Amino acid sequence: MAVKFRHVNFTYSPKSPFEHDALFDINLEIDKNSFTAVIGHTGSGKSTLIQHINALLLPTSGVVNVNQSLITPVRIRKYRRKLEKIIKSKKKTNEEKDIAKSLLEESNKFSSYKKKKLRSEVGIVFQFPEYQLFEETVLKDVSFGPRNFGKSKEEALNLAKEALNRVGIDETYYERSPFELSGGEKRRVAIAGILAMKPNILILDEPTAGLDPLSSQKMMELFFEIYKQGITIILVTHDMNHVLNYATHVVVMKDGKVERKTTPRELFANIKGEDVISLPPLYKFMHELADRGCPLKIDNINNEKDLAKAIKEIKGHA
Amino acid sequence: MRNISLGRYLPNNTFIHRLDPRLKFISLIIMMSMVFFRFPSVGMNFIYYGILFIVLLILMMISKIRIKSLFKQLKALWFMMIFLLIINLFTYRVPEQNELFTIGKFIVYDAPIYQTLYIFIRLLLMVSLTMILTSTTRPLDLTSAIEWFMYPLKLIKFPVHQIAMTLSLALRFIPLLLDETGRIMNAQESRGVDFKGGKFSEKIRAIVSLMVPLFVTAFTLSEDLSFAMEARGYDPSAKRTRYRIMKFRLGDLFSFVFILVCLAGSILLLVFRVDFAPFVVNLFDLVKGLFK
Amino acid sequence: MKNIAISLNNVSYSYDKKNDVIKNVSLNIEKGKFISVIGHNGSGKSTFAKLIMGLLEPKEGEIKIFDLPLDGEHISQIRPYLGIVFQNPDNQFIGATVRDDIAFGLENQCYPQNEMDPLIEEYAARVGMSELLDKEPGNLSGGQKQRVAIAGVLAMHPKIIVFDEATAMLDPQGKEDINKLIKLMKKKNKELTLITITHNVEETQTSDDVIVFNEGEIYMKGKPEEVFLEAEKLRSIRLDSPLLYRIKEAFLLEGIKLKSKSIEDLKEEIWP
Repeated sequence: MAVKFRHVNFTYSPKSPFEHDALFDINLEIDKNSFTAVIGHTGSGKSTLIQHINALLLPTSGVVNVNQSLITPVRIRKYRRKLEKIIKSKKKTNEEKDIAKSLLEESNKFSSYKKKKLRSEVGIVFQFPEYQLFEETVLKDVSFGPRNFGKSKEEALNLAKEALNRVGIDETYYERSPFELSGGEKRRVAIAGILAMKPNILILDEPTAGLDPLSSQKMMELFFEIYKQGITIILVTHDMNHVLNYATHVVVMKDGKVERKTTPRELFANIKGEDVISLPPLYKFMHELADRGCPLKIDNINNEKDLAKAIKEIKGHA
Repeated sequence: MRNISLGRYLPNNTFIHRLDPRLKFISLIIMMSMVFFRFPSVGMNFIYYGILFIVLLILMMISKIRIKSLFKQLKALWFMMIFLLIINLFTYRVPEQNELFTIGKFIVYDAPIYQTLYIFIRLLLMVSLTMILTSTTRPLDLTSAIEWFMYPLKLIKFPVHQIAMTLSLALRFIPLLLDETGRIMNAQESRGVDFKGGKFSEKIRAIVSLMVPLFVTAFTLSEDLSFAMEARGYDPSAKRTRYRIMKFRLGDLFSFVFILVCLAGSILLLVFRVDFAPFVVNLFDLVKGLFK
Repeated sequence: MKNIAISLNNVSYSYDKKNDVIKNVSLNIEKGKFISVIGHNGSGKSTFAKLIMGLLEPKEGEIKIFDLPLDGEHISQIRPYLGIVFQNPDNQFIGATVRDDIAFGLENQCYPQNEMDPLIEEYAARVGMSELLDKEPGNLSGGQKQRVAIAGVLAMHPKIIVFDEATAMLDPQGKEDINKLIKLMKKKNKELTLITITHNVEETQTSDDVIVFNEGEIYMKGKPEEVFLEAEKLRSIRLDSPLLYRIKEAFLLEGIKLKSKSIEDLKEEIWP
């Protein structure tokens, strides 16, 4: 287990006119070395959820366990006392007390997170990450992250070069200003900036938004490679093709709650016209063919070629 | 970040909300100047401020402004006031001052205390006035009012319309840029930046990592915006009509007369050195007497 | 030449005076057509959009709109014929509220103030934003903001409307809403010349013609069926073809030739 949410609730700007509940009783485990996709409508809480994993946001209640360190609403000692109070209180329901008991157990088992360490282990690539670029040269910008986490100038430069190499940016770019690059190149530099920190959990928020189909595919293949090297990947996306082709697990969010966690196969096999997500076009097509009575085995078909072969077979037998 | 509602416009439909923004703007200036009237006697000053404050409270109630929020704004002022009081106690001297008491060898006079109080009350009044204006007037209506007042400058070829358009666009995009700031901060914090602590050099780096992307965003915004505006036929030098127009109504006339009467009244009180203080003291004694 | 809405003749453009982003492009677009322009990022599509809108001036060559040269002399005459919806929903939302934004174009065209409200309400209704007229952009979704942009453009009664990657920054729901709206617009107004610029090929299928840009030049041009059957050629310039054509290509490899021109027909053809 890389990340575990326990009874997490989150409210933006509590006790103000802008108060807004975003997450409701989230209980979720993200497996280590998995490629987990997080899907759901805009406003379902995906961005809020991922910002808890590197403690950009602290839960309003509940705990988040990341790499065996605990993120709590307030300092851990104060939090434990708070939980103890709830357990002893006569005004709380049994359900609330049980939750508090299990949270107390968790908070006694693990120690509190350390911000710098957590942020170096959990890398987040936000949507349109190009805007985070600010240094005079590409190399300087990519080494910014490692430098902040205590690496020496030399080490940071090496990490930067390695990361840039991974995203396909060669040495001719090192001394150029990030602002002269094309949109796609800027995006790759920004991603290199996160990879250079060598996180063991990599969170990606719609990394291919706005990219053309080929660049999008190349980028996803890079992330898949990183996953194969043992990094836990969490991908927030609207692109069902990505979920289908790369994810090992899918978390479906709706209205601030986790609706379910499952595998892509299971998800697509059991959906018919559900409004939470839209199917990849090919799957939609196949479902519609099946609705007309075609005995397609959707599970075994990955692309158009498989479909053609399958139909040929079915018709051949007919 | 969006929660810092600039000027805190509260969308209600009160009498004051419906007043013409130009009238409100002029009234603000007139009433601000009235705040600085200074009467010869201490008692009269306080009575005058008291009257002003009551008037403002009534206006705030009409505008449906919560008085609590006024005091929230003043929280920061307490500290400054105490500081100012101490400075004044040591440095403020006028011929008419009286001794109050002594602390060891140090004499505490009354004048510095009054002076500090005056400053505090004036600040309170000015903040209240501004609050009434900004809570009841949309920022864009304010810029329309300012643009109207600037019209005479057109005679000397001052680019009034362009300035007003720039101002209203800036207001329109402040929330967006605030959101963007939040986003950039999130991204940089995720790369290890600490916006709160750190050594001086780290703080500089942190600010640069925020400012540069913000400027880039702002420049991209300006470029995109200018294309969009041009595409929709905008020409700053050409004639154009207006969707939102300001009309003076009866309510505006009455309000203006009211303000002028207040101003005239205050000037008269000042010129004739009227002093209500003895009258008020007598009133108090009378009431005290009734209760005995 | 009366039925040519837009014509380009050897047009070139460069941002930095060194590299040409648009190289020697010549093209005629007929009135009333629905044209899709596709190409990888950086192929010159958006620059093309700005050129035909008169927002950029070509380095070389000539652009004509309804036979009028697009230059400084004629631009104010031509401007009312043109409308564009850009990619970023925030960076083109000028007004403080939905009303004010739709009114902006009307103000520039000097409509009398008392005629504005009925027009604003009519066009807001056309794009489904009647309930949200007094909302501020901060409280609207990307799709809603793009709808307001469309209303603002429609209110100026242009004859040519360009959609420059108008759905690129939207979520799937937003994309669907806008695409539906564009189709509706075309249906309602046969005289309108519509140009959508996108790299999402699924959006191009109902267009009359597809123009493929690559490296600043026109790589291919023709009806969707013609263009998308050249799957290899498209892939070589980083583009995909729509599902319909990918399926047809796959079936062709298995020796089955499919004739359908739409996904609906295809379903019927494969499994009657």
